Amino acid sequence: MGQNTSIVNAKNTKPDSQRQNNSLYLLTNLVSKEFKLKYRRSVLGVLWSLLNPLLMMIVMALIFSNIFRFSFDLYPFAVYLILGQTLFAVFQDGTNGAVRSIIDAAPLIKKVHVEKMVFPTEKVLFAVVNFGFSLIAIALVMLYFGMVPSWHIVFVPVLVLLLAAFTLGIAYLVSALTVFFRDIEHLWSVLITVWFYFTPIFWPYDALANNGLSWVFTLVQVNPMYHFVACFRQLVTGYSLPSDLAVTTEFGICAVCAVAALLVGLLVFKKLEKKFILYI
Amino acid sequence: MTELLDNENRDRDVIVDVENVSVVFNIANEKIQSLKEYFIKVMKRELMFREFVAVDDVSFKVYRGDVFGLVGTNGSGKSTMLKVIAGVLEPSKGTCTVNGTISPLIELGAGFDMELTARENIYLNGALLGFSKKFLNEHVDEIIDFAELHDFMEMPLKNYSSGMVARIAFAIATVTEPDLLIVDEVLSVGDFLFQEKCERRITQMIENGTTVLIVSHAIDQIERLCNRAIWIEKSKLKMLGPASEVTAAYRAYGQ
Repeated sequence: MGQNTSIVNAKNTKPDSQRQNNSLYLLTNLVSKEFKLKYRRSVLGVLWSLLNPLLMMIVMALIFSNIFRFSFDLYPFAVYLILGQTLFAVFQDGTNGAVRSIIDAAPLIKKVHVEKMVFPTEKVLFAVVNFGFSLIAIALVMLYFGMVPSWHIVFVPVLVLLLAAFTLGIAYLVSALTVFFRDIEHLWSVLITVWFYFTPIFWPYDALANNGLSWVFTLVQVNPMYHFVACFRQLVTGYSLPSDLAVTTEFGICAVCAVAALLVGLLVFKKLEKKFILYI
Repeated sequence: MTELLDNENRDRDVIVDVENVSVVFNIANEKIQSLKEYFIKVMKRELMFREFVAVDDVSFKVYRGDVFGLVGTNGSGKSTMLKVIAGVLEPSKGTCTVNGTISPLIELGAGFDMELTARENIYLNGALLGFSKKFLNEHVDEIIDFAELHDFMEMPLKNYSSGMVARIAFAIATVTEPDLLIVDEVLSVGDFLFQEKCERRITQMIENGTTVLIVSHAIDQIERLCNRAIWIEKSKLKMLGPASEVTAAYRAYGQ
């Protein structure tokens, strides 16, 4: 193949930072659009971002602490549930939203020269913003049980940043691959459900140990989401479960996973994005 | 048909320089879009590709102040050429250089969200076209004025007629005076009053130094608006020259 270049020489050559700013403005615009549309014409509006995890937590707490028997007496089980569930939602909502993001933006990508990365990025950002609202729900639940958060909570933003990076990486990967293989969209919704059950969100380590399934836990430890969730719970409550690693170790593992996922995602996306137009 | 040499333009600025551009698509013999099919085909070694040349070694230059028309029958490569110029598709061979800012008139509906109000769409679409927040705040009234839809600004776009959507699309795309304006069959919607207004606006932009690229099946429109034109037929450049001569030849081809 010969030389293949398509050059746009802006006459009033804008510096690169200007373009970045525009992408950033576009990103905020897309996120606010998503927010407006999600809650438009709903009576409770943004309150749903807070009610959703709360209601889910209540249902799960009722089911799992009454029907399934396992011992959990370190702190209220409801707190254990809502912490895991809200954090996992960032990953779940972010990647689920991103899967179709490129395909849905097809009419635009075909016409305008636009940074394609903004579309999956926007979905992940939206999930992070939503997480911000669910923090209120977490605070309410902890208040109800009279729990005081640990001072370690100040490190939560760092953890959320790492989780956002991890989610972005996976989001870039799945959104790019879905352009070429549409089944990934369906495959991903199954995979994310499996991933959800494979992460200790509504079951504690004891549930495995009591049933003689301790070996499963060895497998769980290669699951990056387990480390994010475990780290988050330790930071907020200050309690560590018998199965937990030290917070610093958990942070290290999360950082490695985040960087690795982001690198792979970026690499794959950048390599494939030039071909998007031929398949959308 | 011979290619007309147009030497008359040699001394003007080149805005679009298309040099020996070819676009080749690999079309799978069957469209494969599922993983299962893909693996089965790979295993059976049945994955065959057929090369399809959408644009074949086309070269032309568009100069500052030109109103340049692209004509050709359906599927002959006009839209592919336009995508290369807009920078969304990379040519397989050759180079396409655009010196200046581009503003594409987006297809109806693309880039708009039908659930959002017109005002919200102006900001969203503006951001997509690369305008800054400050710029949009300063020019939003200008856009609304041009579209003449003051009373409908807070209404979701899904309640708009296609003509009204086109008005907004045109107003946003032409709020700045870009070096190159790409018009792809958009002018055919909207009522005659607005069509006239659009043409006036385009004329005004041309006078201020904007170069316009028009793709249309309305030969009359190309003949009336353009000074130069290119005719692409079955992926190849068939004719390049003054718009009147190209459109005349294109008309004759149909008969």
